[in-house]
Amino acid sequence: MSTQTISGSLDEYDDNKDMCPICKTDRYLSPDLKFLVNPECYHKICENCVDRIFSLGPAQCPYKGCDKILRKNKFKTQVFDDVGVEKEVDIRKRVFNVFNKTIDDFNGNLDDFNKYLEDVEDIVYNLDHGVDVEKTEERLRTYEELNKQLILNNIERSKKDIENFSQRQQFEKEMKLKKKLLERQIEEEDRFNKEWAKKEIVNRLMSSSGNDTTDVIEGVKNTVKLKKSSARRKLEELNRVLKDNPYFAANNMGQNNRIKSSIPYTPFNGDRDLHQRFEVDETKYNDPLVQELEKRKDYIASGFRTDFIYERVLTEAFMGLGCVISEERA
Amino acid sequence: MSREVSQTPDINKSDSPATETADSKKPANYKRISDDDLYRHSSQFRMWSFTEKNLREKRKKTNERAIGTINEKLRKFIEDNKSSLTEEELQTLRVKASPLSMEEELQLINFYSKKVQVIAQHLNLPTEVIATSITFFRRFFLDNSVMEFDPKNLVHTTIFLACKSENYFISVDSFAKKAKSNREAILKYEFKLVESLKFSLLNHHPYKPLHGFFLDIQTILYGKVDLKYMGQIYDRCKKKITDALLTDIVYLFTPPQITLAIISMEDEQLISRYLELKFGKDISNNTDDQENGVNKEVKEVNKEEEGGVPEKVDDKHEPQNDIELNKLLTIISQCVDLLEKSESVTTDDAKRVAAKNYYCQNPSILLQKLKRKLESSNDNNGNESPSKKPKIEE
Amino acid sequence: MSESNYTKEKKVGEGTYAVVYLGKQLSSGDSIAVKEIKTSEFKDGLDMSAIREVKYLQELNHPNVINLIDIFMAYDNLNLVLEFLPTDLEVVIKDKNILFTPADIKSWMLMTLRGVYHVHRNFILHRDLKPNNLLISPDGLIKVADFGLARAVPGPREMLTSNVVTRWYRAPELLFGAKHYTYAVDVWSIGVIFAELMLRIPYLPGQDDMNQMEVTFRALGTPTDKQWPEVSSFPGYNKLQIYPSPSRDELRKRFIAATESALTLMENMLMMNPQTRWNTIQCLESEYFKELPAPSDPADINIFSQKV
Repeated sequence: MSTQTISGSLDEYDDNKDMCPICKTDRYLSPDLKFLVNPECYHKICENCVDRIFSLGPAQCPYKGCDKILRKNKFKTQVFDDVGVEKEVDIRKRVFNVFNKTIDDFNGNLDDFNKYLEDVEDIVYNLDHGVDVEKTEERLRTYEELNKQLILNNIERSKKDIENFSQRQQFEKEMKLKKKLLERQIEEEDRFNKEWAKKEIVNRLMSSSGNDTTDVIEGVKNTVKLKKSSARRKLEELNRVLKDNPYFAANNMGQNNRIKSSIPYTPFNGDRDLHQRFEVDETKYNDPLVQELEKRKDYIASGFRTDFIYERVLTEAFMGLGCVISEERA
Repeated sequence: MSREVSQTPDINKSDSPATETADSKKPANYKRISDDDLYRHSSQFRMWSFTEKNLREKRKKTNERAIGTINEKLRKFIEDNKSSLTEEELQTLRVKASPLSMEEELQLINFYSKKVQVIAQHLNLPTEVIATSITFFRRFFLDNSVMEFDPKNLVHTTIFLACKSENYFISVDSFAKKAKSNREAILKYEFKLVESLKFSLLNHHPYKPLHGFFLDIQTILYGKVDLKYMGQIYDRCKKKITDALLTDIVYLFTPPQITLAIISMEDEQLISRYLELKFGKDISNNTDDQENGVNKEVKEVNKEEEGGVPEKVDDKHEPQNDIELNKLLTIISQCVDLLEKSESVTTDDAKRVAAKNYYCQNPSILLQKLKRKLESSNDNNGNESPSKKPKIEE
Repeated sequence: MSESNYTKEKKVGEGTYAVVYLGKQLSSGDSIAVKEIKTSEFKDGLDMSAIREVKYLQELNHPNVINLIDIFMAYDNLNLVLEFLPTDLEVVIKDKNILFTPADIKSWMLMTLRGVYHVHRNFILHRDLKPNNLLISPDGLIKVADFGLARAVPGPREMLTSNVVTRWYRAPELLFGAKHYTYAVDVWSIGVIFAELMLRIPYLPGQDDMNQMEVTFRALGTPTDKQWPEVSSFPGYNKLQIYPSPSRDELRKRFIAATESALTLMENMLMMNPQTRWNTIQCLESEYFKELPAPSDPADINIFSQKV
């Protein structure tokens, strides 16, 4: 990886990693010293200097020979020691935020998807190495312009994916727990059955007179087999559920499913008045007829609720208030 | 049976904003249904709500159809008896056996509606059952003429059906006993009745809205109304609602509108204060209508609920000024006007119309009566036989 | 609106008060079902179930409630023309050749709850929810059907009969003979159906009314005044055998494939105390419907036997 485009003017400053090249403050002396870089030129400057130099507005980079105009809000903490790496990571982030198609956008066609990825790599390379920067930037902008909707959708989608992922983890955790429980239960049953079989065989052998020993043992074993089915059945059922795991199914169904799931869940599908013209406020009602009933045992035990009564009569009071028959039925 | 619901703009200021972003995020069969829309789905709105003009046309059609049949029968009767009819008899037929006009029909229907109420009350039926009886009876005679079905034959039938429909089941035999009628008479027209009701049996009577407004007025005017007084108003309004069911009001206005009109007839001030506070514009918001509207729309989109975010439930109930107060007040005052105009039919008028209705369907009886009258006047006896007159109970 | 618009081709069922035929709507060629109500057999005129069915279906208009297309009279019989619904949830549960996933169950629960929510929104109690009355359309939609026991939510002073709902799906307050019950009875039924969908066998199969109490309380615990105020005021309460409520762990063992939020939803639908039992709104807003797996697309669910 080459860092030549920015290293030229960097060298003379870069001999001390822990010193701000501008104010010469050293990290040994002030341990709180934090370095920031600006993606315009990736020149490392300490926080204090950034504050001082750029607080009043955009200004030129203080590095000698660097003519970039920098804004304070674009400064960020340097993550990687190597500014070259830092820069490439930033470029990737920026490009992939725009070129955010997934294989689903190619209806699963791997060749097309690979070709697309190669194109994107070219763009990253060009920007990183200063090749045709203007032209490449232009390409990025044009693409963004043309694919705005798609890009937004894909951002939504990846948010969902993260959400789905954590929900799936939760689901699997729950199921694993259940499996463990069942397995333990089965183990216990098995142990119990073994004990029981032992005793049973001894009992039967003692009470039976001269029967074939093997018959008795077979008989007891068969009973045990029948007995232990319940927990096993449940385990089988659980395994079946895990096999048909809807999470995996959903992931394999591809784009169609994705589009559907991007619609937020609507409990009522619109079948609800969002702006009811009233509010039930039982504290303000004097309604002796209803309030009397509220105290009666047979009403309380039945599940009678005054708010149901109030909600109902108030709904009917305003239901149709806004319908004008003379206009609507004309 | 058309289930479509007209979506004409109503007096709500804001139609649900259908911005593209909101739409594209909804499932295919997503449909917003407000409480007003719920009323629009009701059979009462779909089948039994009319403009004054439509109502009139409907009655006219029914009346004209019956007149056609009656006239045809009369023509045939005259033709069949041409040889034997005297000039005087022909004259009597022309004057007294003429079919009822639409207005006369309505008089008779109104008279019998009241009778339905009185009988149902006499049977000690619950308020809602009485209300439904009246409603069924009046609806039956929108599509059927009193010249086709004698209203007195439907009085018990409608009450009996109303009992069943309102979960107040009485066996037909005990009903017949109580009502001093008989099984066959009660059931004879039941199918015809259900069919004429277009199988629409659920009614929204204004009693529940009255209860609702009784509560909401207490909330909006909290501490400003005398609760005992409110109780009195409530009882008086309840009676007035039953009276209103005897009129055409129920076809022209929705139950909440009728209820407000009735309360305001009792206490106009109360209703105007209440509505002003409830739906009057907040003065601080009054300055910039345009912006207000926009904000509202944005809010509504954001509120498009249901993403399942529970915090939003709280602001669901914030007061909504979605009703155009002036328009509502106009509707209420129209309703009040009509209620005040409606007057009951006198027994004399009803008797006269009933007699006419009877003779136009039974011209031969009219002629017999004429004959007897002539005979008795020849005998110098002015008393006419009362037995042949159609009976109409008080 | 007349009989001549429809054909009756095949008799598919006969109940106490109705015969159901399959047929076609001539104008569209669509399959329909005609429910012919045997009106002539009733001495009190039009039967209450027929009245209820007509009355409520006329008002309800929702994708998860059976659609009443038309009504007509012919030969003194009342005919309800209904949308054609080839199967129901009972058939699907019983048919061991049909495999269904937790996502399918979620989809059915969602549709059932939406349908019943709409019924409740219209102030109607269904009072006979059971798998047999949850019909399924050719495109997989659940349709709440059979409104023969439905009624409008009563006024506060009206008394209700507790003799409603098919036994296995009957809420505890009904078993006790409550006269002022609420929407909560329908929610209980859906809760039992939910359990049945997960177990694929009836959850609370009582043999008679007394046994139903026994079965219900053995599975879910005998209610006490503490969790259900005044429950002891019901006649017959004192004769009950006391069972403890099941712990979450016991439920986990019984409903082996259920997630935690599925159990939470079920527990709250099967809450003994009707006052605190969840309503359909709370159910629809529950975590169960928000967590994965998302409910299956109804059209993708297998509702007919797969020939192997």
